[in-house]
Amino acid sequence: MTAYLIATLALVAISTIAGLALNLQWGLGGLVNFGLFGFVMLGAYTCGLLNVAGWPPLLAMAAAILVTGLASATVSLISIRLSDDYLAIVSLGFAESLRLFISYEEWLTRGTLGVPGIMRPFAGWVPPSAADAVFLAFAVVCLAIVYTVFEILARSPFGRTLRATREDPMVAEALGKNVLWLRLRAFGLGGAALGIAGSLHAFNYTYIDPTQFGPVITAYAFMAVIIGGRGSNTGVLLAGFTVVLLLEGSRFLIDAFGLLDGAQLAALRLFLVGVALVTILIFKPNGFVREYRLISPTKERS
Amino acid sequence: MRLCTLRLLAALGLALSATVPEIAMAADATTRIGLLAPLSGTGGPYGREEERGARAALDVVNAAGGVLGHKLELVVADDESVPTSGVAVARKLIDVDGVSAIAGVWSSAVALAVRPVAIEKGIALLVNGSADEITQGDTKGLVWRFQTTGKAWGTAFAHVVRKDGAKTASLLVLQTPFTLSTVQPFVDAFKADGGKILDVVSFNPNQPSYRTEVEKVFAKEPDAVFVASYIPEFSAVVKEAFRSGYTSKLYTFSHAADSQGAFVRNVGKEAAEGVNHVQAVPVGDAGAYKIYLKATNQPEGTIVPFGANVFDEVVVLALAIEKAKSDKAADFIKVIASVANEPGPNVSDPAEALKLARNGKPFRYSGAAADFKFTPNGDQTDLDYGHFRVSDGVSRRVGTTR
Repeated sequence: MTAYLIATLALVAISTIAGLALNLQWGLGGLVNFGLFGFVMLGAYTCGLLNVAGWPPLLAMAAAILVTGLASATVSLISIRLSDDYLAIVSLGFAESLRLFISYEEWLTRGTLGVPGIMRPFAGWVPPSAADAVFLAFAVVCLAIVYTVFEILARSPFGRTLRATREDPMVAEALGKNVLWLRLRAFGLGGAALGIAGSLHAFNYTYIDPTQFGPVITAYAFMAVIIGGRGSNTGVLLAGFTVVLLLEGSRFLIDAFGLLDGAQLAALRLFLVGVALVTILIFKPNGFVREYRLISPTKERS
Repeated sequence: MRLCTLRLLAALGLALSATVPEIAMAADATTRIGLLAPLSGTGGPYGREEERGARAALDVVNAAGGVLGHKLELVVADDESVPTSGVAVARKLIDVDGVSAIAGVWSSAVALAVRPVAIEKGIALLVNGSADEITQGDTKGLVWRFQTTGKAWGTAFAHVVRKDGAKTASLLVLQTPFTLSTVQPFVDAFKADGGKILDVVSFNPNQPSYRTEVEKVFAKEPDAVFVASYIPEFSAVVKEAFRSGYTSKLYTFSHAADSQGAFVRNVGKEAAEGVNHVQAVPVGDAGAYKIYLKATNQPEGTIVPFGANVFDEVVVLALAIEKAKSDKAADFIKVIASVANEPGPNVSDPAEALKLARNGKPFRYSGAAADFKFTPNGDQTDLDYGHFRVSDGVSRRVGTTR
């Protein structure tokens, strides 16, 4: 049971990092990134392929973060004058194109056969029995770093201006803010975090193939941000936990229904997850936690 | 509001804690094996068949006294046909349910993703996936394939197509590890037989239409088209080709063109007429297959590839456990090959084989899906392939090849 919990918590950490990235891009910046899974995939493949080619895991991961961040910024640049739905379509298009590229360019990516034998960081230094626990610790450290950096950003002038562009880019522009540069940085930073999530994904499974990356990863990230409370990093932390708890916990719940056969239980499980999500949103329509607001000390006193 | 959320979480937690200890306790008293089946997602059409096959085998084994003096237990789990979910569920099966083997892994992508976990934890992995890579490399003797390899499929198809008199052939291939692995062997064997390959076109699943691919392949009017795909895509391709009036002969796997009549229901009798399909079949009296059909309430002559594979997986596991006198994977994987490879008398009745294993007598299990033997790396060899053709909505065997 402990081993299972450790493995599941690592999944929580990975999906929460993806949630935090989306929270920066969409929660604070209003930039709808439907192609999130493509950036996770890019991170995982960059990290995995470099690692298999002989790079040490941490170096491969650093490269993956850089590549994903740059790719992310570039994609937002291509769609320079787009926002909202249009950006969503462009990012989704990028992700699908990337998936096709990885599926067909076998010389580089081994196509649908996937990349096996990815080494985890610190793998040689710890006994195999502790490998999962060490990986979990590493994932949690990554999560802590991403959370801290994004939380500082959200409370900084950068975060406030980003929220202003979310509410109304015209007004921000009229006040002399460089909206394009701001959005570029938000998308790039979010992309870098997705590079971390992707690298951790590759390390976690030690084998990656194109079918592991689908729109469902994007959906989980949106679930985490919406349930957590749009704009709140703390909320995303709680929600990342809740989403995985629902997905994994429901597997135990259905074990209690003895009368149905496997196919019916499988359908029932997915149905239960849906019901739970709807229930949460009925009782918590704005998510678990409200986004951070700067309250001036003078106003508070009055 | 906060109270409601808390209450909800508490209820969920309670439900969780209610089920967990029960599972943990049961793990000590019995032998458990897991079935990791595609009960939803792309493999959905085959998951239920797998579960039926596994339960049928379980009933046969337990009616014959179970293994090591107690009942064999089965834990069924859904991998959603997705590798990431597959790994999560496999971990649950191993660490929470305490299974010593995972059977029924259908998708090659799921099998490849679950493989490192199974090898790390020392759990036997019995797969239905055909991608050659599943059994390659160091598997520590834990990975066993109960299905033809992609290479063997490709060669068998080339022989069948050539036998039917086709001089030119094209391939229309779905992008999956399994289907892609059949391409090169088909091309090589077909050319070696003196045939000519016109086109190899691959396509993605879940497309709204396969029109472009169908036009590209069929417009050149090859004598035969080998469509390496599953039932949803194959049905769509056949419909498109039929509507356009193309007459090239169609060849595919039996699981795509039969599936207990699902294919004919999908496309209609007219479009299905003359479609050829191939799969490994039992030869001779095939006693185990009859037992399987009876146990799953299916009429004689039904072609159910994956269900029969899983039936064999559970039976071979039970026999190996009984033979090794241990339900630890490290012990019983050493005798899995001998269950099918021993020279001893051929036995197709699982109950009889179990009795012989219990008494330490020699026997050889002759499987339901095929009369297979194992290679040292866990693949099946010595398979015969049945060539079936759909006529008037019913599949009939028209030949057998090696």
